[in-house]
Formats: sequence, structure tokens, C-alpha cells
Amino acid sequence: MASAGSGDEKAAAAAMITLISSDNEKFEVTEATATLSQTIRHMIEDGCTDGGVPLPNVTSKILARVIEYCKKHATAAAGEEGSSSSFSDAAFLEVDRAFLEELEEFDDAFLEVDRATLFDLILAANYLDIKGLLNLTCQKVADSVKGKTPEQIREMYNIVNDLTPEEEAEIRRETQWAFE
Amino acid sequence: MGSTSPPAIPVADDCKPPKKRTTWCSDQQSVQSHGGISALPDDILIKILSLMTIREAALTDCLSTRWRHLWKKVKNVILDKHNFGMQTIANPNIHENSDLLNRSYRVSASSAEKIFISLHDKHDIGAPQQSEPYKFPLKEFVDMRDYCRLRVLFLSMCSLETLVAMEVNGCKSLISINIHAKNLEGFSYMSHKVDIEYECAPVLSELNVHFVKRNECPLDCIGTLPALQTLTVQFPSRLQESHVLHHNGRFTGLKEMVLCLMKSWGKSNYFSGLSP
Repeated sequence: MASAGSGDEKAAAAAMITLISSDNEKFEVTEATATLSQTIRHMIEDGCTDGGVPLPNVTSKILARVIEYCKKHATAAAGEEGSSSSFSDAAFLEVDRAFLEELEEFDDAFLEVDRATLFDLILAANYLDIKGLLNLTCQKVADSVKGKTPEQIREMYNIVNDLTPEEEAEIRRETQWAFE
Repeated sequence: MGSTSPPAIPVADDCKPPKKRTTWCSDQQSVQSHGGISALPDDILIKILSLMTIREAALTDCLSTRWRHLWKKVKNVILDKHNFGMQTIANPNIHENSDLLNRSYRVSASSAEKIFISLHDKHDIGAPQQSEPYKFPLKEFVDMRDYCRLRVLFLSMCSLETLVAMEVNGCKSLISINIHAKNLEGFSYMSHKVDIEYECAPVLSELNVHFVKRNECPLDCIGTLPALQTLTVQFPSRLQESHVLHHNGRFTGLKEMVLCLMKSWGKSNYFSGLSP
């Protein structure tokens, strides 16, 4: 299907990009989907994508999820093109509301993953420079930290406390205002 | 897979590297977290901390030595009621709490590019409304002149020195905005009518105003802005007074005006005298 054939086939294939995961699995995506990644966008601009884009830092499991996100949001991005957040657009936002709600539901469901997967998604989003996905996943972590005590955060994320009791007491004094 | 597909391209391919090299792990180390937050690089942890209020972020400083200084590098500083000592009651006497705010600012503002000030408590809808309106003369205890990295401020009720763009949205108890910002180029306001004073805004060229209550005279409180080029105003309903948009020398530099009308107006003579 994705063979770099000749004639008509070639024209159709031109808009497709092959991504290759660290475990050598190939994923065929449209250029619109792939270019949500700034990293891949730059590679396409530089003409470096013939024969596929190797992503040696991303496993097929994570890459599949990332592509799922990009596919969904590529359509959204196409719709938002050219619009700004100025108030004059208020009336037009109504039209998109249903779609935005759907997108939000998708994002919520997308984030229903274990922590290890969440961190892998963050790293992949950072590596591929996919702003929306990075924001989404980081927000999820931020929300999980909010309202927790340092002890709870340490326990939740297996953070080893390498501060001496004296150091910790000193730090807590410095930021006493945050505990009040 | 197509038979013509070449094998996976080795790193030594003669392709140019991506322009944004920093995001491309050149050492090809595995991007896998192995389940721990500690595997995330500092810049991502800072990004995560930027998504919380500065108070919540500061609480992470005693997690471990690595976390100790991370929160001080956040780019977005989010201040909430806690920073103003307002978590329990509406406290109009902000000066008592200025020390608290100052400390959180001093440590964070050096890296801040955006400051979001939100005194609007989303989780507190059922609580009694604040009966007393409050003023926030933030200028009195926060001197922004040293914090030139700041590009954007989303705030509820403050006045700061070094701003380029500013947005004020949905502050129910707000009674006045005092802008003293030499570099302010854009200002957005969305809420009910307040007195917006432009103590000093010589280069303000874009203004968006969205009023949510009926019968409010939007432009009366906008003031005199000689450098204004673009004005966007949204009216929720027909205005009582017909003279509000009359030209009286306020907008001599105006080049573009966008009006969003929620309901049709009865008369059409509101635009007389405006510069073309």
C-alpha cells in the first residue's frame, strides 16, 4: 500500500510518511498527521523522510499512541487554521463547540494510562516536539501533584529523599509561605 | 511493505539534522522513563511545575536535592488567592499580605515570562460571594521593572510596570484597573464595567473589550489612547446611550475597529465622527 511506486501511486504516496519505531515497526501516517511533530516537520522540510523516519527513541507501543493523538488532532488543527482567540471570534466558536467537546473527551480518555506510559508519552512528545501532547500530558502530571504534601508526592512517584533532615528543615523554612 | 523501501536509515545518513536540534536526542539514548518521574529531564519537570500555582510548585522544593531549585525556574508564574492570603475570606487589606506575595515573587520572577494572576476561585462556586469589592494596587508591593523577561500578564486586578500584552477576564469583584505600563501594546478585558485608568500606556495599539452586562457604556471607561490602532468591542445588548461611540478625540490614531453585536441595535448613527 505504501510502496514508493511510480505514476499515480507515487503522487498519492507523496503525502504519506512512514515512521519507524525503535523496535522496527513501521507506521504509515499522512503528512498532516506527522507534521504535528515539529521534529518531523523539519525533517520533511529538509527532505529527509524518503524511506521512512526512524525514531530510535520511541517504542512501537508509545508511537502507536502518539499517532492516535496526532490523527485526532490533525483534523482539529486543520479546522483551527487562521483563527485567533480574539473576542470577535466568539460567535464562530459556537460552531466548533461540539467538535471541541469531542476532542476534549478524546483527550480525557487518551490520558487514562498508567504512570509509566504517561511518562513515556511525555518523553516522546518532547522528543518529537508535539506541543499539544506535551501540554496535555504534563498537565496530567501537574494535576496529580497539586494539593499533595511532599511526602505524598515522594511516595506517589518513588522520589528518593536525599536531603539530610537539617537541609530539609532549612528548605521548609525558606518556603514556609507555601505551607501556610 | 513495499519492496522498494530501503532499510532503516542509519544515523550516518547525509540528511541535515532537524533545525531544532535540542529536541532531537543526538546521543540516541532511549527515550523511556522506566516508570519514574525522576527520569524526566529538568526542562520537562520545570514545565510541569509551570502548570501549577507558584505555591504548589514551591512545595516540591523539599522532595530531594534535584527538586530543590527546579520550581524557581518556572516560566509561567501562576498566582492565586493563597498568594494573596485570601484563601479564607475576602481580604481587601492586601498590604498585610504583601510580604507573602513578595517572597513568592522574588524567588520566581527572575525566570518568569508570563504571570497569571487569578483570584477567581473555580472550585469555590458554592461559597458566599465576596461582599466587599477589592482593589489591587499591585504596583505598591511588586516592582516589575527588574523583571523584563515578562511578556504576558494575565491578571485580574493589578498594575505593573513592564508589560507588553495584558488580558483581564471575569473578575466579578473588580472595581478598578490601573495600568501603568510603558511597553504595553495589547490589552484585553472581559467582564463587567470597571474603571480602567491608563496612567501610562503610550504605545497601546490594540484593545479588546468584551462586556458581559447590559447597558454598560464600554468606551466611557476606556479612556484616551492616542496610539490606539485596533479596537474590538463586544456588546451584549443594545446600549441606552447613543453617544458612546461618538468621536471626541479619543481615538485619533484608530485604523481598525471591530464591533461584535449580540443583538441588533435600533439606531445606526453610533459611528458618526469616527475616523475612517
